This record gives sequence, C-alpha cells and structure tokens, in this order.
Amino acid sequence: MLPFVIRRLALIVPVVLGAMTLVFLLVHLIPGDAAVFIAGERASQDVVERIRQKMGLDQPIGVQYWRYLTRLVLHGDFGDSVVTGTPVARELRRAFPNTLVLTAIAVVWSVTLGIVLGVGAATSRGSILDRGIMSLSVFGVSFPGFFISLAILYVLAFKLELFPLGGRGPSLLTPEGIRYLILPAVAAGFDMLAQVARMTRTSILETLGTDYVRTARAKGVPRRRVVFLHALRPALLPVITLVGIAFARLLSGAVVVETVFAWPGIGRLVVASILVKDLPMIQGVLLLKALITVGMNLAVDLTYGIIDPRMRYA
Amino acid sequence: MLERPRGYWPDVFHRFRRESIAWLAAAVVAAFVLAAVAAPRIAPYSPLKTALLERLRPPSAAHWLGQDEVGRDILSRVIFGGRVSLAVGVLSVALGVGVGGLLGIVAGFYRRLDDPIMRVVDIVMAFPFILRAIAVVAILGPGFINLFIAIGFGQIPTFARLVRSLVLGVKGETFVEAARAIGADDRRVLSHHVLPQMVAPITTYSTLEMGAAILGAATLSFLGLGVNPPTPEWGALASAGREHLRYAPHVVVFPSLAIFIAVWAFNVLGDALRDAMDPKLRGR
Repeated sequence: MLPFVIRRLALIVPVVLGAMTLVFLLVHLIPGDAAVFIAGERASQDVVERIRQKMGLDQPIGVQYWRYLTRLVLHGDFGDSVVTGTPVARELRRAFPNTLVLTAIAVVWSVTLGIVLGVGAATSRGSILDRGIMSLSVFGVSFPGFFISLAILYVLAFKLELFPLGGRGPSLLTPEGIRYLILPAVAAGFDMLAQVARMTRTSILETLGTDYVRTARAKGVPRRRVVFLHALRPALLPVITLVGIAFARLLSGAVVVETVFAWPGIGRLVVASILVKDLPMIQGVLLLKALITVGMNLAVDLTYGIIDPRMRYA
Repeated sequence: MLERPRGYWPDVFHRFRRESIAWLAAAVVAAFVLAAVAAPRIAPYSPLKTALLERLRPPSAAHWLGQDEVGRDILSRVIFGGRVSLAVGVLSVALGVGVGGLLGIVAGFYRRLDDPIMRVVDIVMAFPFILRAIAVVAILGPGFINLFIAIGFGQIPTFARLVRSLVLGVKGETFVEAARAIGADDRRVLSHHVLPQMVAPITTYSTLEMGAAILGAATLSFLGLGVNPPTPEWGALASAGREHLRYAPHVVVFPSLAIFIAVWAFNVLGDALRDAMDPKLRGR
C-alpha cells in the first residue's frame, strides 16, 4: 500500500504546481492592463500606479512569479484583497468552514438516501419506485440548480415560513444555527441524490447478474442477505467515485446555492469578488478550489486502493 | 430470417426511429430552434417594451406567461431568450469540439505531444467545469461573446479527452495497419480512416454537451456573470425574478421551465443518438 500512496502523491505535485501557475497567470491573461482593470477605466493615474505597486505588477514577470510561489508555499500567503485590504488567506479561513459544514451535511443526507433508494429500485425492478427514481434522475440533471434552490426557498421559507430566508445563524451547529443550514443543505444535496440513486441502481443490477451472486442464491443464502452482503459492497465502488467528484464539486462551489441562500461560503465569495474585480481574492478562491478538487481525486484513488487491492498495481 | 444489411447510417436511423421519446425530444429541439429563428415573427410583443403600470402581473389572456418587474411580456422574453441561450450553446460546443478535438487528435496521433498536452488538460480539469467558466468571465468580464468563450473553454478538456481516446482506439485497429502497409501517410490515415470513425461519438457528445452548455450559460447569467441586461437570456430572466419570488413566482418559473425543457430534450436526444449509434452501450 505504501508505494502506491507515494506514487499517487508524487503524481499530484505537477498538477498542484500547474494549478498555481495557471492562477498566477490569470492576472496576465487579462486583456489590457491589470491595474487599470482593477481600478476602473476612470481612475486617476495615481490610483492605478498605487495598485500596480501594491500588487507588484511593476516587477518583471519572473520576479512576480517567484515571489508569488515562495509566499504561497512557505507562508500560505495568498496576498491582500485590493478592495478591503484584508489578507485573502484570512477571508478564506472565515468562509471555508461554512462551505465545509454545508457540503458535509448535503453529502451525508443525499448519499445515504440515494443508496437506499438505489438499492430499493434495483431490487424491485420495474416497480413504481424504480420507474419514479429513474425518471426523477433524468429530470434532476436537466433542471437548472438555481430553480431547485428557489423552489425550496419559495415553498419552505416564503409559504410555510418554516425556515429563515437565508444567511448564517450566529453559530453553525447549535439548534438555532442548524435552522439556517437546513434549506441550503437540502438544495445542495438535491442533484447528487438523483445521481447516487441512479448509479447505485445500475451498479447493483450489474453485480446481481454475476456468477458469485447466482452461486450464493443457489446454495440457499436468503435474497436480502445476498443483496446487502454480496452485491452491495462491490457495487459501491463506482458510487464512491461519484461521491468524491460530487463532494469536490460542492466544496469548491455550491456557488448557486450559496448565492440564493446568502450563505457566506467560498462560492459566494468568488462571485462577489468577480463583481468588484478583486483579483487577488478571485485567485485565492480559485486556487483553494483547485486544491480541493485535486485532494478529493487523491482521496478517491486511495479509497479505491484500500477497497480493491488490484488498483494498487494499475 | 436474416435482414438485408443496410449499412451503418440507415441502421442508425432505423434504431433511432423505434424510440418514441427520442422523437419527442427531437421535435422539442426543432421547435426551440424554429422559435429562436422566427422570434421577431412569433413573439407577441417586443421583448424590451416596458409597461410600468403592469409590473409583475400574473399570466393572463393578453400575456400568457405574465409580465416581469418592469411590465415586459415574459413569453416574448423567453422566446427571444432562446436565441441567446441556443446561440451560446451552439457556439460554445463548436469551440469545445474545434479546439478540444484538435488537441485530442494531435495528442492521440503524435506520441511525443501526447504527454505535454494531456498534462495541461489534467491541470485545467483540476478546476470543475463551472469554475473554468467563472475564471474566464473573471478576466474577460460579462457579456455575450465572453459568455460563449467561457462555456466553450470549459468544454475544451472534455472533448480533448474524448477525441484522444477515440484516436488511440482507432489507431490500434487492423484496418489502420493495413492502410499503413499499402503506404498511406499520416494525412491519409487521419482523413480517411480516423476521422470518419469519430463522427458518431462526437455527434452524440455534442448533443449532450449542448444541454450542459445551455445550463452552464444560464447558471452564469443567473449569478450576474453572463449577458448584460436588458438582453433576454433564460438564466438572466430567472435571476431578475429572484427579488420578487415571494409575490410573483411566475417570473422565475417560466424561464426556468424553458431551460429545463430545452436541456431535457438535448439530454434525451443525446442518449437516443448514443443508443442508436452504438447499440453496445444501450441502457447504461
């Protein structure tokens, strides 16, 4: 197992470095002058020069790159916001826990329910449950995410007045704080629910057709035991991949959900930063999100390695 | 009794014809395209004409889908919005197929360039689709052209990977080896043997990606990162209705439904095309 872990870790080094470089280059890909871009067309020469100096844009690009990398890697320094002047790293530390909690709750409820529904659909093929889940999953991927969020907001917050309209409570995991968490968590987990249910169903149907399942049935193992003991475990492998991808996607940007419910996470942070052209902040959030995605992919691969030893030699 | 062999494309058509849901989806797509092309003729009102005294009116006989926050006719705005959404879809998928396909062909065909190209694709893939698009908008700013570039850029890696794997698959076939053996050069192998094999899968994926592109464009516009107001675009229409959700949900609902129906149609059509073109994959 150890050589496998080391090999996988070595593989992500160039990807991480590449992501850092891409994010660095973002400033230089702006058509025209980045300092003017931030200050606005009508800003005075003075203001533009000050921003240029503050962001180090007056230095040669090689020097800028080196400074960016050393600050980032050695000190975890993402630079300062050009709008508020606060360190980007501090803003990220403030917003990230909110996104993390939201994502964790969304993933837990939707994956649990998704697997249950998927098993239910697979074991009662052709039933109303099965057909309902299959058509729901087709609908789920075609609906715009913001509509689901708005529909939940409309029904549960406006009409039934069960939950607050948005924002974050004074604290995250107290009874009062959880009231604020429920709606965004339901909305964020929604499309994953459909995908997990569908994937579990397909995967279980496949394993139920294998020889060893037939053998188990033939020697008299009860159906329920076969489904949960023989079929479910190998069937969950593709589901784990899906969950990893979905987890990374949510973590790195339940952008829409966070915007609709005014949830102060990193998804909302990046949209707000783009609207005020806060480049260092945009760079910081994008890089954080890329690192999350890379980390999740690594976690999925390692999980595969644990569950299926053959993967370690692939 | 054995059927007379029909050839690949008639066969595809035959398999496609048996799926009634695929026909429905194809009809829906055709209707959307027609509505977009003929928008000025079929829209009952101008999409920009305001009527401040009739703000947020619910659906009525005169305005089938109601009126928005400045009294504009929502049906007309949804019809004209289809022009923008479909155009972004077509243009961005074209960009994705063009650039991604070229990268994929080069990477798959020339061993030496495979590694550098796919490394870069891997790095770009570290940013999820919507983030890739957001990053492009962040540096280019909002607007119609930038929106299609952003979505198209987001799709390049997907097509690059797809085409590369297709090329690698075809390259190993015996008919390519045979062509080489009778002296075909790279250009001939590419144009006569590799490219024709890719028409079917690329058509399928382009159709599926149309749905993703429309959804992505709507999402960006919803966040205020897409087209500039007052251009009607489905996501932007829904976004404008957000503030009035409590009293006038129809402003959000109808544009969202338009998005849903269009994306659903492209998804179903894509699935049906895949089943028809590659029966082995059926039901996956």
